Amino acid sequence: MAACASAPARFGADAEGGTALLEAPSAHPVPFGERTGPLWDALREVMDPEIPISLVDLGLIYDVRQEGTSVEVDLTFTATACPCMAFIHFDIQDRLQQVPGVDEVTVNEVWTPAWTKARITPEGRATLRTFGVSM
Amino acid sequence: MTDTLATAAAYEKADQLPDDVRAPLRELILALADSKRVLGLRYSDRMLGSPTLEAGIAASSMAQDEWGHARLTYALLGDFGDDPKALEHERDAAEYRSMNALDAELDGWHGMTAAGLLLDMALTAQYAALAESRYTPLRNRVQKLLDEEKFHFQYAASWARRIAQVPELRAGLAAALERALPQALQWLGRDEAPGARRMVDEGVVRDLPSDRRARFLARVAPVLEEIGLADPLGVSRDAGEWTYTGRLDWAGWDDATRRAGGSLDEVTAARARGDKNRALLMD
Repeated sequence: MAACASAPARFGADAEGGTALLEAPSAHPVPFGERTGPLWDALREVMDPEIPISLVDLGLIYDVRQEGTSVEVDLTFTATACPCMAFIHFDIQDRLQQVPGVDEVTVNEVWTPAWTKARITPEGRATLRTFGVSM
Repeated sequence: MTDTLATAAAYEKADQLPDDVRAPLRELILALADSKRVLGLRYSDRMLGSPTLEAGIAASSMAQDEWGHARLTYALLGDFGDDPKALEHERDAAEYRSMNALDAELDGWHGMTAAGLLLDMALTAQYAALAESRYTPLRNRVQKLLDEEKFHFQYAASWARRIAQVPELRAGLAAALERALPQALQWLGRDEAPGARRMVDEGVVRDLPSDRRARFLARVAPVLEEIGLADPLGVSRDAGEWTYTGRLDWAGWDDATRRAGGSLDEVTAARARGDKNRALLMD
């Protein structure tokens, strides 16, 4: 019922009246086509600790902004109790600080709008299918 | 929420809240966080000795969810001038404001089912009353949490239906529900509690505790009726509204702590604080 990339297993549940997890995502995250540049490329190399799919393809990165040498990342999780939250924070900071010109990285946890499976990129869906995760 | 409130500016920070709203809201958030933390522990106790292996795994997942909810809720208190880390890891048992009903371990799978159906859903009813709060940091966390709680409700309701069909188990389930129901209803508080009406007036909380009780009953009573236990538990429907005909005893009730005396035991508090894992704590 919880935990990072394993969470898609719960989407098939027949919740009474539906659940927001099944609804179309709202607007806050940067659209797929606008996730370009060295910061997004670096984040594509940060994998979910449970299934080797990038945080970007899983749709957990809502936005990344740079001002001078400081970078701010808006990050969500598939569930409130992902056991790997601290590792994901560290991995993001570690990778972004390897990007030339980046010194400081701030990670904001965002819960609204909530993550839904519709935030997974087409590449991410293909990856999940190779691991036998039904979408 | 009134039209006026719907267009009123949001409270982005706790220090923007009126004093007579900020204090009771902090009390409420702490009671929610502590209850979530201890509920997670009680669920985790049922990981072993569950009816099936899958049920034990589900208890583990639900425990994990509750701790996630507790973490998000404790973190809010930083905005109120508290140190969330100290609240989570440095308090004595007597300082916990978790539900009275969670002071003792759950009584087997009957207790697990009653906790999922009634205690967890009382907490959910309270969170639901915060889903449109004008206090933005709180509102931004609640919907995700409510989404996850839908699974807990479905799961507990399914077990209640299954157990109720087994003659030799039915009485145990009925007893566990009978113990939990008044405690769940009472935890939702009193309309006369300091700040209860002010929080509604300011659009921080959707409605009064009595309305919340009605919403809680509207959700759980159909399940109780379906398994034939609504009437024995004092839950009846009158003109479409579910009511509890039993008496809630408010003697000794503390509106701030939402408890009627007693306290969590030190062993459970040590687990809630993570004493044995202190070296592994991370920011």
